[in-house]
Amino acid sequence: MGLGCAARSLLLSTCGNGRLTLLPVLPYSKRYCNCFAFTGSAWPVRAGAHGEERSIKHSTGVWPSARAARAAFGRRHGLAAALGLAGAGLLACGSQENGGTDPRTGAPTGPAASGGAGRRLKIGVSFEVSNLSPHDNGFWLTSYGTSQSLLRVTPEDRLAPWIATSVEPAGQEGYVIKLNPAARFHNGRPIDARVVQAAIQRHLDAGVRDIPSLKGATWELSDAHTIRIKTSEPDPWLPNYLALGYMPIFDVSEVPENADPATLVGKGFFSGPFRVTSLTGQQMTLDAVPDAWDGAPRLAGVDVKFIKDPQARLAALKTGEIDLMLYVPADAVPLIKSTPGLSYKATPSAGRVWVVFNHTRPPLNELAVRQAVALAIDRKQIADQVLNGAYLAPDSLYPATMPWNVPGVIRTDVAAARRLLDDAGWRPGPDGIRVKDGRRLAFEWLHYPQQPDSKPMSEAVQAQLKAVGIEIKLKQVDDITAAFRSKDLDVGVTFNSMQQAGNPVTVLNSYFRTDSPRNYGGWGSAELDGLIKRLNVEFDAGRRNDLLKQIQEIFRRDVPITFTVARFWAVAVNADFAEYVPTHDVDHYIVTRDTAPAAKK
Amino acid sequence: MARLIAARLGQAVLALLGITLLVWALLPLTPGDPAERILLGRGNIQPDPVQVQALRREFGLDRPLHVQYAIWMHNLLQGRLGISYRSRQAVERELAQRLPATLLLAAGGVVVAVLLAFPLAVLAARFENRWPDHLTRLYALMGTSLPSFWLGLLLLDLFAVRLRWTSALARPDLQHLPMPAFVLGLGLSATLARVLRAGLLGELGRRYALMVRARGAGPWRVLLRHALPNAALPSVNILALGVGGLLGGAAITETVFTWPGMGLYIVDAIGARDLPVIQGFAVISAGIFILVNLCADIIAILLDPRLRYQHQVQ
Repeated sequence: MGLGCAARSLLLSTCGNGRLTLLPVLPYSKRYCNCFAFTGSAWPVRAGAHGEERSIKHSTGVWPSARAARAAFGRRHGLAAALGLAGAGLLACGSQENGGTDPRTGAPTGPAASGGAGRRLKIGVSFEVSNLSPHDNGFWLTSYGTSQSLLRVTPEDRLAPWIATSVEPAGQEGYVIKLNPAARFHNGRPIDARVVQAAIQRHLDAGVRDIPSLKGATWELSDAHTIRIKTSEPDPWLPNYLALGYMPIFDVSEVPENADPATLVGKGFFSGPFRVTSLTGQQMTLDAVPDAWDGAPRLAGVDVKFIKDPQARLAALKTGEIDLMLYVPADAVPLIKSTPGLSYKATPSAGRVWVVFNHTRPPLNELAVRQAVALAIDRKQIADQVLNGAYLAPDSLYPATMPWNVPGVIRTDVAAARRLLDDAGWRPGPDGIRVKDGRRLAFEWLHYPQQPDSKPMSEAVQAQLKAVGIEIKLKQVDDITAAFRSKDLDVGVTFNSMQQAGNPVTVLNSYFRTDSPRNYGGWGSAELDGLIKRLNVEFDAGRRNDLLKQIQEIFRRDVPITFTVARFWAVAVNADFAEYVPTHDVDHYIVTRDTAPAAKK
Repeated sequence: MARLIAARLGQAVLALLGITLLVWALLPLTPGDPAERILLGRGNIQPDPVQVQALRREFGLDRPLHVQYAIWMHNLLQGRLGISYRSRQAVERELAQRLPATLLLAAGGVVVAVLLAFPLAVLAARFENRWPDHLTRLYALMGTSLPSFWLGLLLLDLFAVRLRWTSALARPDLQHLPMPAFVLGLGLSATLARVLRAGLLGELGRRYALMVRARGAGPWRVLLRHALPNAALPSVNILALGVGGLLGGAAITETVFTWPGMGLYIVDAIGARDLPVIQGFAVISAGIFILVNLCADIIAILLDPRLRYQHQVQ
């Protein structure tokens, strides 16, 4: 690498701004300038106003002559200075993929938004889609607009038609599913009753979801677009399962059982407005399906880039290499909000941070202690100050849009927390930590690195609980699920949700019945068990709401778990997609047919 | 000399065998049921016992340990490293897709290390206790102290985001190599510069150097023509050891720069407890490390007659 080459690159890169800045005294030799050939370009390049590569020569209109450069630079220089500049020259010798907006000015620097035609959406996400298996990655493929379920979930957490025009109960014994006759796969095959049955059965066989009412169910294909299911047990929540993105409808004839996932790219067994054309460890490329059965998408395609490091994702957003960043860490929110040309978009979700108590261990087996912990946590402070507004303080188990929501189940009342502990006999010790019968009010609190926000959140809770005389020792564990299943813990946090696709019953059955496989806290309530059992088979919406409200009152009273903060489903976007609105959490629908760049003003 | 080289080869093979045993033992020694971990890795939070049993049969996990090891070794000798828990694809295929990028980055790191270390060490030795020497020692201190992820993010922010001289997302080609290679090679160059500087000063203090000076050789000739070849030999060993460090440290650099190499892949695999991938990576890394050190030993033997002489005497 020639030293003069480095010097020239530094000269030219400063000249590329259109003004001559202070030039160091460096040697120049024309014979070294061929060094740029190794980068594939004759001159250092910058992105022009429209994203094309422009050499510095063109942008300045000046071709530095050898004589002029020699006049500007001296011939003699320190070797160390030249080495340093050679390094700068190495770094300057790179092309730049640009697009989007200049974060300094907010002015567009990338390809102009064309209102949809020809515009691709570039997404940066930390989770890699490893293959196109409908069982392994149905959730992501539905989120990115490739696959579709029978029903979809609206922003109000209601079910809406999709591949199915309706899913109506047939008494308490089953359902009638009517399919949209226009629905078809990318390969052109129509989506009929036979294919739907086969796809759902394959999901069940693969263990994607455990739906007891479909085990041993009877399927009657009345005609090509009508399915009558006689379930093995009454299940008022079956439509919600059918809306899960985890179970998309796919053409089973193109996906043999135990197929090598590597062979699935390029096959047209899904039905969404986008089709995966390429999948590598770095990127998934989706192209628009112009003749998609439910309408052509407004985008030309989607490039999903797997970028694990959040700082690298943020850098890519700033440079315009991605338009939309998923999974925004809380500590990046203030930076995004203060950067011109970038926007932080967030929608409240059903996600909550659960605080799971081990009810078999003192002092968590004491109701007063659990209630005091629940009341002493200042959720607003955590959400607004500790986590930079990336979360919000919930006051209920469920989103406010749900008809069964009971506000005020979750609340903060530090004075009440203190009174509860006083009444329970926990007296402040010399160091402020309460003591009862010689035992300190102290326990271990687990958090985990896969959710980086769990650490600062836990630290904040530690300080808040100390204020009421409760000591918690924080401990980070590698695998929180393993810790829960071992039941060798006092308290652990986990990021979860109290409902999926508008269905609260699955979570209640999985975690809160006395015999639930995931009842990690070991808590049992015959009253709650009875309510859940009734809820499992209650088809009447009004009675369902009443049962759920009673269940929430039990949560308020008995505190089997409590919650800290609620999650937003949040993204960061550049100016090209400033009008993007994120939807849910569980069924993300990150990209839909209607996703489009911001309208040009 | 042939016997010496053969002996080194034999040691390398034995070392590799021992490593394969340790690497394979990761699976049975790790707490928990591997079949459950497979299902957890695929997103099945609550594996059904029937599913677990079926998976144990599928992966041969219900067989005796020595049989499992034999099967694994048999597959390894045929180039099969198992199936990834997460992607359900052949581990060797996934690693092969990423290995070239890691090797390119590691090679870039070595080149950067050598290009930085040798001139600095020569300067430091030539101008001992003057400002080039002080600068080199300061550089050596900073090079070993600066965390690579911090430096990487700093350079990314400066050159990609602010100056727009390069892109934030790297592609595994020469255009995107300089920055990650610099970050990766900086630590090794610092160590190499220190070792080489010390070696050069040691050689310059020896009698043959004095003799050469007495015969009229200039200081640069003594340094470059006589001292450097002798002082460079320990650097070959440092470089060989450094290659192992580059392969391991590449995981951090690859993550920061989204360089699509094995390091980034293995970070994901560790997080997901994808043991076949971890095992495959360990075997390949160990193999490369042993091979590089074997080459370093052979180069040392070829370059230094004293080693051959000592062996013959023994």
